[in-house]
Parts: sequence; C-alpha cells; structure tokens
Amino acid sequence: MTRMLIIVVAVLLSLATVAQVGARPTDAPPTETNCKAEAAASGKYEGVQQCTRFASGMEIVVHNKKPKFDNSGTSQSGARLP
Amino acid sequence: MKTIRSILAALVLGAVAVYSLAAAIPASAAACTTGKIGFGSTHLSSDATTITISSIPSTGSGGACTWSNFYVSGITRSTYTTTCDDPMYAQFNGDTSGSYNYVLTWFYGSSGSFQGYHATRSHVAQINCDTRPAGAATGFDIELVQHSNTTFNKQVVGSNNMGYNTNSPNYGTMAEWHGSTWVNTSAVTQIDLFLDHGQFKSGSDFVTFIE
Repeated sequence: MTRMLIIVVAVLLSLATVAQVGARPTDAPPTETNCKAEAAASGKYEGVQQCTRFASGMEIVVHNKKPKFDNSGTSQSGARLP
Repeated sequence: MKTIRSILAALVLGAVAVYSLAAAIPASAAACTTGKIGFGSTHLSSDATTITISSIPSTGSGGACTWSNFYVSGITRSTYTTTCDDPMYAQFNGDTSGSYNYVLTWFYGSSGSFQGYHATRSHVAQINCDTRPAGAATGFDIELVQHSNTTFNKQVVGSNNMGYNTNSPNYGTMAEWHGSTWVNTSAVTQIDLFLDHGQFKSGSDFVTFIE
C-alpha cells in the first residue's frame, strides 16, 4: 500500500515537472480585442478611430490628438528633397 | 514486484530527461529565447493623426523572461501637400521634454546629406507626401534596442525607403537612415508616432515585433 502511494506521488510530481517544462516563456499569438470605447472613455485621447488590445496587454490606439512638441533648439545642415 | 520496479525505473529515467530539458529553459529575468515574433498590428481605415502603442511589456508571460528588442514596421503616406515629404516623429512614455537627440542621413541618385538635432521628439522616418504619384509611399523599420533595459539611455535605429520625385510612373527612390537617443533609462512602455504636418493616410499599415 505504501509503495503504491509512493508511485502515485512520484507520477504526480513528474507530471507537474513536465507541465512546468512545457510552459514556454513566450506570449500567446496576438488575440485582438476591440477597445475603442474604453480608449475614448479614458480621456487620454481625442477622436479615437481604432483601438486594438492584444493578448500581451499591449494596445494600439489610432487617434487625432497630436502630442506636444516643438522644433526649437535644432541644428540643420544639408539639402532637402527637390 | 517486478512491475513496481519497472515503474520506478521508468520514473527515474523520466526524471533525468525532465531535468535535462529544464536546464535549457531560461531562468527568471533571462532573455526571452523565442526569436522575433509578430506582436500586433493595425490597418488604418481612415486618415489619422497619431498612432499610440501602449502597455509594451518588458517581460514575457508571467515574467518568465525579459524581452530584448521592440520593432515597429510600416508603410504609410502623409496627407500633406505643401512639400514633398513629412517627418515622422516618435516620443516615448509620453515624454515631451527636450530629451531626444538624433541624426539622419539620406541618399538619392548620386547625392546625399545629413542633419542632426536636439529636440522634443525623435525623428524616426521620413514620409512621402500626397504630391507624389498615386501608390508612392514610405516603408520604414524602427528598432528600440533593449527597450527593457533600465541601466542605459534608449537607442533607436531606423531606416526608410520612399519616392524621390513627381515623375510617373518611375518616381525614383530615396533611402534614409536614422539614429536616435532618448536620454532616459526607463524601460519603454509607450510609443507615440505622428507626423510634423499631415496625417497618416487611410490604407497605412503598422505592425510590431518583439524578441
């Protein structure tokens, strides 16, 4: 009876280890979720056109709010396109 | 009894094999070894001002490993019609301060030149304007080198290819290379891509990769 119990525990431990080894350190293929309504409600964007959330948690938001920037403090040399 | 011994022997052999496999799996915080994989994309169904890529991860699922590089690739065209091209800029983690330094160089025919800047955004590609023949566009690749690293400032390298003039159907080709430093040691979790003047035209494609 004791031997049988040892065998059962050993089998369970082996299966658990195999499951651990089988878990590759990668993310699942990009499953897409439409997050347009959430992006619009977040207040972070203006004129949200598209929002896609992937399995990794990464989001791509297409919108019409241009970030703040300026062209001061630049140096330039060379010719531009014709 | 013989059967039990056989089972035990198989378990021991199995355990040895499992141990060998486990040795090949990276430990926590080791670099992910999956190679470059597609990580998400978007196709513009209408003209758009900004593409925001947010919640870019530093680690793989469950923190099992650390991602090394992040890539954005695309094909696009600007709605701008006043000149022939439109700079595409990037800002990281919403930083709008003057923390960006970059240089770009371009070649067409037998000529070429360069520019260097210190600015409030990084110049990562040059985009064809709407003055170019129909179908002309810029194809670009941007790499955020070691985007998860928190020791060094971030380095960004990129290249693009675009139409050169208004001749049709053969409007020539101009190639550019870009190098940028974002003076910040934070892991990059967000990228905003936008144009100096116009909008990204409908039909543009943007795709991300990670490794």
